[in-house]
Amino acid sequence: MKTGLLMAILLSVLLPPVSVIIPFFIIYNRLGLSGTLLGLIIVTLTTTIPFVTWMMLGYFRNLPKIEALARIDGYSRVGTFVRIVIPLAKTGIVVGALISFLFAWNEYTFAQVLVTGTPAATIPPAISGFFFQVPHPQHLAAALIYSVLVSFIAIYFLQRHITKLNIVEVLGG
Amino acid sequence: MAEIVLKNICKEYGKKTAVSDLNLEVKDKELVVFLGPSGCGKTTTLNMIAGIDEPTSGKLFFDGEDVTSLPAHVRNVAMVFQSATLYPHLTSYENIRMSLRIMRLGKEEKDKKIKEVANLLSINEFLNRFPGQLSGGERQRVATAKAIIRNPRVFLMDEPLSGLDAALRESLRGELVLLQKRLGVTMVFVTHDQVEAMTLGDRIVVMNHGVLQQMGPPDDIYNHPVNTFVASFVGTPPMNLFEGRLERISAQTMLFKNEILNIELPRKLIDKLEGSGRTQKEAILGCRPQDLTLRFGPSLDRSVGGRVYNIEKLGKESVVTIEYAANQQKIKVLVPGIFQGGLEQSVAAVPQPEHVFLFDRQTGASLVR
Repeated sequence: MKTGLLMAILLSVLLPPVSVIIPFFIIYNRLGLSGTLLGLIIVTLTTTIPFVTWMMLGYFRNLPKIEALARIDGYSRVGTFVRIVIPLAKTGIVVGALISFLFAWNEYTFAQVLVTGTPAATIPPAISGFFFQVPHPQHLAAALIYSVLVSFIAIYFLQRHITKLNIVEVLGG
Repeated sequence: MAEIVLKNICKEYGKKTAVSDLNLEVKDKELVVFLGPSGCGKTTTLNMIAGIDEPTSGKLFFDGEDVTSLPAHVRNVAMVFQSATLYPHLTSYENIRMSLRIMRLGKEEKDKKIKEVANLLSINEFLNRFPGQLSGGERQRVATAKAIIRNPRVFLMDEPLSGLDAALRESLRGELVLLQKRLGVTMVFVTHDQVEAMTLGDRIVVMNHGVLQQMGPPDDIYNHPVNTFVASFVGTPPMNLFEGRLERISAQTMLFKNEILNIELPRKLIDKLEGSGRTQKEAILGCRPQDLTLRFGPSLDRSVGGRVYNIEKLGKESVVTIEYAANQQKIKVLVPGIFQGGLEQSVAAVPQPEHVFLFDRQTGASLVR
């Protein structure tokens, strides 16, 4: 059951994402989801969820076996997960979050097809709009800096967080 | 403090039976050791006593109270896990405090209690360190402190000393027994190390394949093993077993014979055999390594003749492994002092008839109990 589910999640990344753009476009047009942020979020999740699931799986498996200890101390199954396992896995969760943020932030193909020219446009398709503005290449440069800056800030802060947690992890190892 | 009773406990994981029909009783303030090879069901049994696992069928009682389906923390048990598992993201102090979580105590009261156990186990100096900053022995102490702070009814230990080096293990073993006696708690200790079991236990429970083999005080387990499994599992080096048959010569004498051995059984043993009416022909003879006499030279009648295959010199004594000519089987003989012979030397070992054990050849059950 568990393996089956994991395999199903893995299978979903077997197809190159680009190959499903047109089906998505058609479905979205019918559902009224094209040109909306919600639609883009759903598409992005189809690639990030499998990836982050497998990454976190490895991370959780390497955590020390403290479930039984937590049971003795009076934690329920859910309590153990929320109060013990998640704090222990913080580093992995932060890294997972960071990676899916960067995926979504930099995602170009789907955004280009589904949301260009609408209020829901993300930075990559928006920047591509500057490409052919010959008289103002500085606009393109400014937009690029802006796009890099946000990911830079995100990584910068989370990076500090990650290293700090890593030390505790190593010490607690 | 509590008395633990297990009644017809079974545990199955899918189709696999981990523990089958286990009945046993741990008396109040007793230290019982579960001994057996890996996968024999001893840890599963411990987890069921703790309340981490629920038995598939059967009942579990603490002081006559049915606790079979009570969750772990309500049973008020304390457990120390293999290689002293602690929460890695908490300091020793916070780890110990976790045990008091379910008690409604004020902050100062908790602090006082923690300081008390810290003194008892002399871990004051590393209360503020994380488990990863502690050595194996220190971690073990913190785990023990975490366990005893709750005044548990039952103290459960799952191979707590397995990850430590030999010297430390020995000293902690002594400390644990002392602590158990001083606090007067009922303790169940799981191990696969038979030396640990022999030195710690008031009683030992030997298990194999989820089935209880024998339960009794250490000397009983050692001197009166109920079957070949117990006989060869308890004692280092393990007991030598020879298959053969019993032969009645006259009213007074009986022989154990096979291709190489021809041993006259002592009167006492014959009486026991007759007393239990087990005078069948097929039998297994068991002889502990220290109960064989080793001679240099070729084999004579009644002795196992062969070549020295391996020598382990332990100082006080030597373990000599002999490969005997017949079918490359090996036996081990314990020789006092340093063994003077060399490898490949031809030697003969004679079992001392007054120290042999006899088992049923089909079932492995002892014939003289």
